[in-house]
Amino acid sequence: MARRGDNSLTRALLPATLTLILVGLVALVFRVGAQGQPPVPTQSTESGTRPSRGSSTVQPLAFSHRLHVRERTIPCLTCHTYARRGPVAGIPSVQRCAQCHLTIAKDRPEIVKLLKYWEDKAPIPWLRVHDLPDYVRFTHKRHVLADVTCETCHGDVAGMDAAVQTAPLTMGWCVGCHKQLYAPTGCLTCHY
Amino acid sequence: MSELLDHVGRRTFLKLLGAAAPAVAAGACSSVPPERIIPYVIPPEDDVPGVATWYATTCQECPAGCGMRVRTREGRPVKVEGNPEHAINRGRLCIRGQASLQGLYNPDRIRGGRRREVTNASAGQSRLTNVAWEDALTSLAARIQTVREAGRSSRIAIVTPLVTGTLDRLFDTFAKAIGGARRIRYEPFGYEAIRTAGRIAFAREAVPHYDLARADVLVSFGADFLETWLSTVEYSAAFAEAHREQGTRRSRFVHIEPRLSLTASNADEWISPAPGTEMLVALAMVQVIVAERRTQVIQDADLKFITDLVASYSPDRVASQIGVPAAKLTELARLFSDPKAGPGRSLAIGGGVAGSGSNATALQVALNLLNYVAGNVGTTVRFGPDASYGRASTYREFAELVESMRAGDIEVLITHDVNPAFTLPAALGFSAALERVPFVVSFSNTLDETTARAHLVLPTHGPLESWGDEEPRAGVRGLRQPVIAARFDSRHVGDLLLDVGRRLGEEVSGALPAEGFYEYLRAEWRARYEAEPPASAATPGSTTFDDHWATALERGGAWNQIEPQPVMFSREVAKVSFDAAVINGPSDGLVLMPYASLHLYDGRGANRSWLQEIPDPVTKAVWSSWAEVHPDTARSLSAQEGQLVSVESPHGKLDVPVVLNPNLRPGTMAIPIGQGHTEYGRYAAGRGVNPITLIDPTPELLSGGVRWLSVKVRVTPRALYRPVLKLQSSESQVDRDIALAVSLDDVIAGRAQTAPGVEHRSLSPEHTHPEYRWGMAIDLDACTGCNACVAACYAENNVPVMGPEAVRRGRTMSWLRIERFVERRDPAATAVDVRFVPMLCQHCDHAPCETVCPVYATYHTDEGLNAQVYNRCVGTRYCSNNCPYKVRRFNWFQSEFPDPLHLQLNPDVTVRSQGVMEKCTFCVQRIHEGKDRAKDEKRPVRDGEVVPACAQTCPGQAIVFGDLNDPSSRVSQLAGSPRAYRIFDGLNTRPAVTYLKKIV
Repeated sequence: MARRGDNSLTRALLPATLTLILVGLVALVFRVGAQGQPPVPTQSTESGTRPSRGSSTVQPLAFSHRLHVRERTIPCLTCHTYARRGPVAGIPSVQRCAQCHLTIAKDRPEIVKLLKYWEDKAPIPWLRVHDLPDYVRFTHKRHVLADVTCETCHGDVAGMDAAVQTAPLTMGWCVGCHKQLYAPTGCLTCHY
Repeated sequence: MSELLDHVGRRTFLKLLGAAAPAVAAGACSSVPPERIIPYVIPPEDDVPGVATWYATTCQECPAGCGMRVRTREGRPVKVEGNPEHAINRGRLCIRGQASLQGLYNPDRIRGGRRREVTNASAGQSRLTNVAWEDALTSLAARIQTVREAGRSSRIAIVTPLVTGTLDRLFDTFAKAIGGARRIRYEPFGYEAIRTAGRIAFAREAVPHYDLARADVLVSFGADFLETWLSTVEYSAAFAEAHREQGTRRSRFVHIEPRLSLTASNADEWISPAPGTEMLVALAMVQVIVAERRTQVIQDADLKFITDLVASYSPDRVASQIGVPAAKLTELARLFSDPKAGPGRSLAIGGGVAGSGSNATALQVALNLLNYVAGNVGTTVRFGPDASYGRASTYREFAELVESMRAGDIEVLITHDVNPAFTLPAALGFSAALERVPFVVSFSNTLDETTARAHLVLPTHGPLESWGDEEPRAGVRGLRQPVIAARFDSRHVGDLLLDVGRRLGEEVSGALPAEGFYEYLRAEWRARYEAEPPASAATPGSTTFDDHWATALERGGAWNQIEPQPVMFSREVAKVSFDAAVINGPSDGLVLMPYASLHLYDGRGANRSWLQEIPDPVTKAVWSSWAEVHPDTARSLSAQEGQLVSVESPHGKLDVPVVLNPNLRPGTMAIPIGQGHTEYGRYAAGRGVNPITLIDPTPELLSGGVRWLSVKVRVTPRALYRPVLKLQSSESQVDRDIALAVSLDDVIAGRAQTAPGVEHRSLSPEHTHPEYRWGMAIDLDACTGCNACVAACYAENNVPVMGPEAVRRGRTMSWLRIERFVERRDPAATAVDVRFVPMLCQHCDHAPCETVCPVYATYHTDEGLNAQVYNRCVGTRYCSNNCPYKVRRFNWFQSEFPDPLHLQLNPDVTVRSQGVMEKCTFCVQRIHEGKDRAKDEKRPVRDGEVVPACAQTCPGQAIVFGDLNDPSSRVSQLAGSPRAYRIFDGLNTRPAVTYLKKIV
């Protein structure tokens, strides 16, 4: 047994050591608590800033929702075609962009970039803006068919150039709405 | 730690704890990497991300040729199911079919061409190195060309499995075009005896179709039709249909085999004769039937002939040789031939692997006699819709090829998807003969024992990546279509042949005009269509070939009913000598019975982790080999359970641990086939033993088949213990009333009901189920214990495979298991009472797990499900401790899915991580899907619309799922059946799963 005050170095290092152990323990608890692996491990992604609530994003193309939605009055579902039919709304295919832009505004610098993707038959590596944890099973279809407007969750996209997240997308926020509208609130609705 | 605490004291400790937590919390939040979201460049037609697309195709795990429907998500198959429209399997699939996905995504698939390169010529060392396709094909074509131009084409041999349909034709055309190469269609379980006996008794060399569904009395002479015999799914389903209680009627099934196999376990009676004497049982039955004039629709002359033929096989004379009382044989014969019932109400089948010895053909001839005298030929035994097995090469033909190889007469050997180095009797000397072949090419995508010795390895597409067709029996043509783009650098075997053909000059390429195999296949179907446009029933609504093709692709093929063709009894039978099987070896040795494994078949399933981890249906052993012996035999050998014994036959020797099996004839030893691989991949190599190394390589005289039952072995216990991993160690229910049974008489008399237990009261308010209340009914009388549901559950619900070490510690993750209980029986009696209980989460109304969860991670939903919320669970494991059914599984480890097995994972089900509890969800993702569809159509969910994976695949249709709130649903009606009961009713858990008592 070491005696109290025997070794000043030990005394000095102890709090640091203990902090490390505790950090480790708490980290372990956190890890155990973090559920829901993605069904398919995602590829490691490049570095870059994560688009988050309220912050604008540097996307590979300076696409403007404002221009398309507000000024040209194109409905959301024209491009996000799957929202009515499946769980994901779908980012428009490069083909869909090209369908219009092979004739419209061909000479703008961003469209030139877009058409380069189309010529290369390469997908545009957009950054995800609205991201739910992998243990949440959300379906656009049921919400769209229940006449929940896109703006309810995505905010005033028509007023944004690059889309940003405006709603918190937390469970409390989801459940608040579900309660108000008498939508199911059991855990199994979204977590299974 | 106590030393550290000495210095710190409580207050400092708490301060530090306070400082540590935010540090961790901050660290946890800031490190989420940004995620890319990648759109399609050109979206596939009719494909909605997140919504499954189904394709019909054909299973290639065995020659049964079952139809499959493959569920794909975003271009990758995630689940296979039986095709409900298919003529063979009608929507059901066996455990091997379910595991075919693990063949597609096998982590040990060869990922590109390989060529043998000599590393040290003097020491004879070489290894396989990568080779480019162009080089490989050029060198293969050059080899063939050299041999061909020298006029030695007969020195080229092509060995394939029993391929049927267009690919078979292509192989034949290729073999002929290159100048007449030898061709072997090799099936390790070839059933040569059945077709030879067809020729002898009815002048028709074919494997007939057996109508099990129509037979009121089924007697199986070792035919393990619930495991591997001929067409397991089809025959299991037909058997279940006949054996199901229908008012007062239920078929009777007697199984005759020295071992209580899975098939025998499902019989009403099991007769255990001396090995190799099943034929005498059949002859004694024939003798009784003709002597007592119980024959039906038979000509007098034939009757006289048969009477004379079997005169010396009366039960009294043969009983002692068989080891079964004469009275039993007489009783069996009378049961089999009931003149009052009319002809064709019974059926005798036989010839499973374990019982096929030197008299395998004689047994089949005896069965033909038996079916003939009972009036079954043309009714339950149907020649006409013959099985493709009749077209396989015999084992003798392969043995002759091996002889040629040994003599140096084979210059080029081409193998495709066969593994003779493992499946041929070792004493035949295939491996040594292979060394004498200067050029061995393997078209295969797994590095099995044969491929590992090849000079050139050309990886081929798997069945799920391929075009093709399959003709498992006359009148049934299943189509195979790719359901995923080839995963690795492989080619279709047909494309390879066509490519090589093009390199061999005009003479060969002229015979093989197609651009690729797809074009070849389509041309073949077009030619057939134009030659005889099929009846509209085959592909309804098609008027042109393109329609016909599209419809066939959608349905999974084209089929029409082939009427049975009449056959004439042939006096050739007189030439057969009816002797008991010749079994060589030490006179005091044990008779060795290598048996075909339900999971691993002939060994081809050994590198599929589901098939290894799901317990064997009879012994409940996993990940290993074992030798079953009777406890009395073991005692006389001084061997104990788990003890390693040396097993030595005249042809080989191996060491294997003992498993005591009281339901095995004393004096015998049974070892499953399938393990003992030295190559083949991470799950298979170096595991267990291969009993094929022990058997006699001499073919059976009449049929040329393998004599599986051919040796006696000397067994010497060693002073080593290697206990076999078993997931259930006791066959007894220990009076717990888990699996209940009732007699048919009691069912008919209305006495099947269990007396109601004590009425319990609950302290908590009762649950309400306003809309749906999901429930399940499991008929123990229809469950055969075949494990198909377990594999389906693994596939559907991303259940991880833990491996043998974790299993040893009881850490399997299976959500559904089959418990097996054997009721104590009088050894002299023949009645069988083995009960299989599929055990899964019971979704109790009063669930003991729910009340003990400190974080409400498990709760009762208003649809009657016992929910498990993974992201809430903190892993206390209280729920598991409190579950009386022991169906909850804890993730002790982060589960692994070696690349590319992770691609099989179902995106609709969360992959659970370390530290959480999981269990059966009643396939809640399918409930969601069903409700979603119903909501689209503005209607409630229909009965039968939501089918969990286990119920979907069940060959016996033992599992029914549905809404208990709807009194007309099938599950409600079964829940109200007189046979219905709930397990551990006395605990007042009120399960949502109702079991129906087995009828014994």
